[in-house]
Amino acid sequence: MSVVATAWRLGVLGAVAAAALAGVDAFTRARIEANEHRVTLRPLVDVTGDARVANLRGPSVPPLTICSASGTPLYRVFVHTASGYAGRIRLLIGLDAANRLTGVRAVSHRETTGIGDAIDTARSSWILRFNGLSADDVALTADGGRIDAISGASVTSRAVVESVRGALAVASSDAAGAPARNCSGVIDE
Amino acid sequence: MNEARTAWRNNLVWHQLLGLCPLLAVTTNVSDALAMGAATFAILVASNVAISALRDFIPAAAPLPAYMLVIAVCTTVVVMLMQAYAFDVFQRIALFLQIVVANCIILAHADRVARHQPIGQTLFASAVTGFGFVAVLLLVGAVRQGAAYGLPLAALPPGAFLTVALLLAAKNAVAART
Repeated sequence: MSVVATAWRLGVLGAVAAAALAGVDAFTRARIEANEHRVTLRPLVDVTGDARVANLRGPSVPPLTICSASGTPLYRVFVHTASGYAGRIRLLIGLDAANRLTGVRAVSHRETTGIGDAIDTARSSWILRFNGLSADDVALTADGGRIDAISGASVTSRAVVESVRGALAVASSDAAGAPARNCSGVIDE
Repeated sequence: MNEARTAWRNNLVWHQLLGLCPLLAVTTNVSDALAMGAATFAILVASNVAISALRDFIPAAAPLPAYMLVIAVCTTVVVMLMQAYAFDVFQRIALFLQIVVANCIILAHADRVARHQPIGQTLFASAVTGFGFVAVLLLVGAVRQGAAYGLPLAALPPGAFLTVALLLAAKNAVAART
């Protein structure tokens, strides 16, 4: 077989392959984009505790102010970094309009396996204790607050609690300022 | 049962140590191992049948580019279908699914079987090979998931090497006796 015939046949195979891939892509693209959108929004649904956030229209990267369709602010979501026992802990924090916590999640951390990693919902429900608390309650019970420290992981517990407390202080102070109240996205009722 | 013996004794994983990358990487539990095995099975069978169907058209001077093209198309199609219909599973095995393109088992099978055999025999032979691969993935996944309850190491990367080594030693011990 000549070089030309070899090249021709490979070219035909390539064209058929490209057409097949284009067809499957056209068939699956809408579903794939919907799946990716759902996964991106899942943490936001978790920290707001509101399933309607899955239908958020607008950007999905914090800081966010999520409003109802009529423009009333419902939730604010932001990221705060705590300094844990083994490096930085990135916390995703959700607040309602009254500056009460709707949820906190450790989205990335390197705390000790079997001890400090109890801040992760994959390991324990500890971090759910922040739900519904306001700034005054966010402290370890040893300090007069309402959060029990994780046993054996007081450094990790305190780091998370102090970080959430600091984030709440910042959030309440700029609550009066207009910028944080501008809607970044809306959810339909 | 000649084919059953092929799947066991000449199992491409145990016999020639091919396909170790997915075997070591995605066998921390049975469900990931099953997903990876099923995807690899589909790609192996589909690409080999396609290569068999095209065996008179694939230029003899340059078969490898044609094989790689067919395998890459099959892999990409499986990736897209999993992203559309099994997104959560896809996210757990994504990286290792995409590099099935370079899986030696599939290319070796295309070169040894599909290029010489008609479609029917290729379908059968690649299904047997694929079944052998799935069985090994499931075995390693089950051993590691079970052992991890008492021995967390089993779920970590070193556990993969140790598990595969022990199973391979056991297989060789059985083979030496028979």
